[in-house]
Amino acid sequence: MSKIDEALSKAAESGARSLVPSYMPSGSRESGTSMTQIVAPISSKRRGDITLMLEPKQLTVSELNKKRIVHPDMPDVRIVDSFRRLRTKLLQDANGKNLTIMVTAVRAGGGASFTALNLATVFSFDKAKTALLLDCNMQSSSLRHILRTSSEVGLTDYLESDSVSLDEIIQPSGVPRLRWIPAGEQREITHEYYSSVKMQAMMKALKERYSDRYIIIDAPPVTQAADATILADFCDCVLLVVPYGKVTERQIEAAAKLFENHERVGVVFNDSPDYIKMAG
Amino acid sequence: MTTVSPEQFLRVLANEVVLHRAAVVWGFVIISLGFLGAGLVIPKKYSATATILVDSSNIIRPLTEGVAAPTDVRNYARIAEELINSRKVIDDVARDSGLTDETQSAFEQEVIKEKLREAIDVSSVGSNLIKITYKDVIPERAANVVNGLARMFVLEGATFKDRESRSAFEFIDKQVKEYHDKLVEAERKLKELRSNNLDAQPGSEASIQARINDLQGRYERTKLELAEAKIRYQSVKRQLEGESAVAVSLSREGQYHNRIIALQQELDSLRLRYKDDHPDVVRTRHQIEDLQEAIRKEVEAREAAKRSGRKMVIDNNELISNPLYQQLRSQLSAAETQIETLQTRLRETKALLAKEQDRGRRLHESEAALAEFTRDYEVNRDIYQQLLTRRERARVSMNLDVEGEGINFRVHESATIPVKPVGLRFMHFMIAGLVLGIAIPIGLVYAKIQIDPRVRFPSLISARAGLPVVAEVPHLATMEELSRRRVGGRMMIILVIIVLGVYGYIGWLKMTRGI
Repeated sequence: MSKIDEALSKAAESGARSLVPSYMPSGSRESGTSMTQIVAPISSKRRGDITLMLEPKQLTVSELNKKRIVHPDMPDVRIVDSFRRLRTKLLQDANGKNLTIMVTAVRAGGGASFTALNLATVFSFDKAKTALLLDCNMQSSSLRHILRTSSEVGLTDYLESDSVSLDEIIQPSGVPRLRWIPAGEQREITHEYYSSVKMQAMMKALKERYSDRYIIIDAPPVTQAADATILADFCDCVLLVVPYGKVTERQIEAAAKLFENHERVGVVFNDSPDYIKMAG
Repeated sequence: MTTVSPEQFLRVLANEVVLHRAAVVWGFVIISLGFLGAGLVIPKKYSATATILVDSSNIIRPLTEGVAAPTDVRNYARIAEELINSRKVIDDVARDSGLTDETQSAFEQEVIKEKLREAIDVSSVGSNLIKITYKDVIPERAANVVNGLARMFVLEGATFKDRESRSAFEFIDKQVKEYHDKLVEAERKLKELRSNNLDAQPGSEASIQARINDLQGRYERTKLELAEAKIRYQSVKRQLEGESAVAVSLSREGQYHNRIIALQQELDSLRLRYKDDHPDVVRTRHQIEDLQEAIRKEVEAREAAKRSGRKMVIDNNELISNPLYQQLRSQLSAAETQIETLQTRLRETKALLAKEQDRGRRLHESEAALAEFTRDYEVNRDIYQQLLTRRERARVSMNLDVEGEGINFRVHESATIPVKPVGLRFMHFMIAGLVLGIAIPIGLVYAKIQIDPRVRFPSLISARAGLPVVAEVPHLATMEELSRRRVGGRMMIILVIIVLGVYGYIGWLKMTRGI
């Protein structure tokens, strides 16, 4: 076990609410604070107990349909099935481990948020599992208009401020067993956040918070700074969303080149018109 | 697109067509209705045809075979075209068929006539038929125009033919006259040359050549004789120089010397046999001494005579004339005479030879000129004779045409009022409108997929970028989108039904009204 893990369990036992991180520009500096103390503690009553998760008001079927979120009773079952197949494939590759998946698009408007949200939703279909969707689109988040929130705070607030706890930013989404972290306030320069130590610590905490939780990161498109490549380092696998009929082969090749050091990169071919099915 | 299977491509094409259904359906509506409209607007054309028989098999033909040149039927098609396009025929036909009338302006009438000219087609069919075709929107008028043209052609054809063979005759006649003049000129030149060179007769050349050869031989011979005569003269002259004119007989002194020599010989032989004191030897010696004494006296007497200036008396018996000399002299003078004679003859022969050669040269020159004139004359004569024959044939042809006995034109089959229109009919437009209305928009979508570099096939991603495609997510339509799509789809179907209805209705109208 690493030092961070030790610290985490210790902190959890002591029930400490928060520790002030030493590197945050806005936070007050407290001498002697070590790396082991920066991560917010996790409440013992929630830990490992999915059934006890607080479920606020759920989205109705019509709302789900309107928001283009998949659900098992969809009229067009092909889309749910395609996401289910994707889930199965990812789980097979993971060999039973918890997965951290990053979803990014080749270009803006490529459907990365749609794919990430629905992939998370499909993961949460399983009543024994939960999914956490991390919205990293700080510049322009589309998820904030789709999912429910219990408070206004989000990722930027957490990374900027010591007063915001991790629990506060993990919010119910309106979809059963799907939690999400909104991007928070809109920010223009974002890569500093993702490369920060606090971000790294947060990712580690999130991965270990629930043994049966899948974390899906909705990353900005690869055309936008280096955010996606930084975020890819936190993840087990990367899904590159290619929208139908919107990007050229060269754009796809350029995007693929960004992740050439990454072991597991897959393409999700999104939004293909499927009015007529032929030859399978 | 090596990694895209035909099935995949068809699927994408079908989906793209649905994706762009609005544009596709509107394209179909515009194209199909456009064609329908074009089919309605473009007038139907009716084609009428009349055939004219060129009758060349009359009774005179076998008689004039090879003499008269009958006009070929192809030429008649050309004549017909010329004739039909002539101003008079077009004017008459346009007026008679009602294409032009007095109410139209001159310009309008010209435009109509020009169109009429373009719509007329004249061609030859088989060996003796001429076909006249004309297309018009009114079937009756098409038939009227063609029949009018055929009638005019039969009427005008005869005079046209007559005119043409007359002009052919006149041309040949003019040529005949020209060649006649040329021939006369050639004959005159030939006569002039003959009278200027009288010796330039046939065979003159051979006789002159023989004469030149003879003269040349004579000249050479004379030259040789002259050389011989000169050599003879030289040798005679040399001989003559060695002889004196008078031969002096032996003198006493000489005689004495001769005696002495004889005696000396005798003495020498005696001394071989006898001693010096032998009486014969002594006697001989004395004789020699006596003779020497006599010579001495003789010399003294001659000296004395020389000194006293007195001519010594020569004994007649001692001086005689030389006969060889005389003979040589006569020979020399004979040789001189011969040389003179030969030289004169040589000069004369040479002059004669030069004269003959000069004559021969003149003869050659006149002969070259003669040959040239003769050639001109012969060529002109041949052409003239040919032309004469042709003129006679042309005269016969012309007479045939004038008498109307040559080739006759007859309307073989007059035009009937056409029932069916020609060219593209309404049905064709309808079918083309429907087929192209579907094909063109789909073709454009196909072209878009082919040209657009953006990726539509997931198999391309794995092939080019080397990434696995882990999922293929279809488009997720919201409820609103679905209902919008449903409404739009209904509208499209209604549009297509309207177009088909219009097609059906107009088609039915056309059918019931007759084609």
